[in-house]
Amino acid sequence: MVMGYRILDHTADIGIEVHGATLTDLFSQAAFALVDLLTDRAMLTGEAERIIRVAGADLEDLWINYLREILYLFNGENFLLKDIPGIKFSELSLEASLLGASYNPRRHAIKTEIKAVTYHRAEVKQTPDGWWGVFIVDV
Amino acid sequence: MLKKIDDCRWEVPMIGGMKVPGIIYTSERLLKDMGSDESQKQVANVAHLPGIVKYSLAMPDVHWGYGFPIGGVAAFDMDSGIISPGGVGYDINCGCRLMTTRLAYDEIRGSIRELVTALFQNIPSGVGSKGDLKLSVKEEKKVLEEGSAWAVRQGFGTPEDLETTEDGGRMEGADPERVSDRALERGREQLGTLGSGNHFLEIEVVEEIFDPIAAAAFGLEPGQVVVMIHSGSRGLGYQVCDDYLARMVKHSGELGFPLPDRQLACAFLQDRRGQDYYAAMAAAANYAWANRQMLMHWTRETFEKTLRKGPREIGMRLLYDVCHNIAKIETFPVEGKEMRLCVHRKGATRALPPGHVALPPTYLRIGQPVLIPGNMGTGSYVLVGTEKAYTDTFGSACHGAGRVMSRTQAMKASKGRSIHREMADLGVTVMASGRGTLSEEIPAAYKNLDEVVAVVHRAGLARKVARLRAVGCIKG
Repeated sequence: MVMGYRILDHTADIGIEVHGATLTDLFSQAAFALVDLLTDRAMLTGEAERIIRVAGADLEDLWINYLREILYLFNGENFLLKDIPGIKFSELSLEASLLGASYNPRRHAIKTEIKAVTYHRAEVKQTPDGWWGVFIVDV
Repeated sequence: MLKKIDDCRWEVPMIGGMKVPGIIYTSERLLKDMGSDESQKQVANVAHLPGIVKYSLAMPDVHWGYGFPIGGVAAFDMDSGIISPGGVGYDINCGCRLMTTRLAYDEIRGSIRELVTALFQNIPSGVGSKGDLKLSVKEEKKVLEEGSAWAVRQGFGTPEDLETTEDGGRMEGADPERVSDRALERGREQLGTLGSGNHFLEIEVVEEIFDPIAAAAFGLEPGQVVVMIHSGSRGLGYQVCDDYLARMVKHSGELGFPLPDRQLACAFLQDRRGQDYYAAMAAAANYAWANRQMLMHWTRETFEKTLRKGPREIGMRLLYDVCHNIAKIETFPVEGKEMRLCVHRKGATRALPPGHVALPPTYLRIGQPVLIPGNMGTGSYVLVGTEKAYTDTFGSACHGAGRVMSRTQAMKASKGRSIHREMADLGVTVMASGRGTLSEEIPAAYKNLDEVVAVVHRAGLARKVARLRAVGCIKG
């Protein structure tokens, strides 16, 4: 089982396919993929902390709402995610603790403006060797 | 599954739960570009939505979006129909404005580089770019209510600019109280910024006139310098779309029909959720108009300062400003009767015929200017609206070239090349703030604009008036 993600080709937007051994891995990798599109995550420090709580109508909805929240933290609050020490899932909601850095235009180059994480073709499912998910961002 | 109707139109036949057929305006050549593209399926998906009238349309620049295709047009009955944030897009009132000048290219040929550099300095651009002013929430709400008029009141431009802006730069029904705190916060520092991606400000030259009468009415002549601005409602608009999509997805179970794609989430026009979205969307549209008004004002200032000429000598006049991501309540003929409809244009430009009541007096006899931006370096087109668009496409035409390559493909295709140099060889001075922007936006990533416009012209949706060639460009 290879954990991680790959970029899918999509004419107008960017699609991301994610693998994880557990649901926590899957959600963490997805958030990292999103931040990697925005900036060079290796350059980030992790001194700032955040806790997010997200709910969804089903697993796909939770998946997208969670990623929307990660994106909002950057777009609305200048928070760039470095690491996720833990995600607690309960039924159709989650609580994630996040570590990251405050965006500083002098230190962090932004590669792509991401307008939004879309619901288009969003999917999460369990596979024989873990979890698999897809999401598409509008750039 | 496509059925050819004539040289410009292909039908997506009605199957399954489709309430109306789909019609794609295209050509044999452009159809090949569509290839594995899912846009046909998306045209069909839109046809499933309640209250859709006549057909689900796609313009020749159609490409795969999310939910609605980009280049899609759909109109809904006010009583039984829906409104969908995904049918407008994230960049609410993304649009174009074109300014004419009294300058001939020959006069300022030597100053293009200096102009581009100065524009790049004076106009904030790039990812998450912030403007010079940080608005109080109270002031920001005035922007959301008043649109371009707010900007003019602050000294960014003149009242005449409002006459040649779609809807006078202010959409009725805007309610800032329907815009979330998150959206307001994102909007406070981004007013008066160009943004990134395919947004640009371009110095162009009128290269060819196709329709001398319309060109004269629009104030266009060969060799003249003009400026095209392509921008929208920035983070505020993205957030409004995002907020309302999430709300509509959450309540999609109450709609009473299954959604073929969650991104098509919508609400009935008669329902509170639909009306709230409309009021928030109109507010975001007004923000975008104020934004483009300010960008134009700084362009005027930059031209004056750089060329050391007065405003009269430069004579930068707003030819027109038109949006291409919007849902509007408009009246069009349906089965011989005029009907009020909610027309969604997601990557489609309004194109009104001569004599239409919404036209400014200057263009009443000739029709609405339809501004079609190309992508970087390919130049742009000016067209004029026709009766045909009024009867056949809810007064709509294409909005640009439309992508054929994904951004990753474009990055690969431009690897090892100096896009700056290639653009310079084409005679275009380009400055961009983003590292990847130039590579992602290479001309080959888009459909052939000439072909897209030719289809619109042949189909009679809008008539070609002039072709503009890019000479200088700033990008985010």
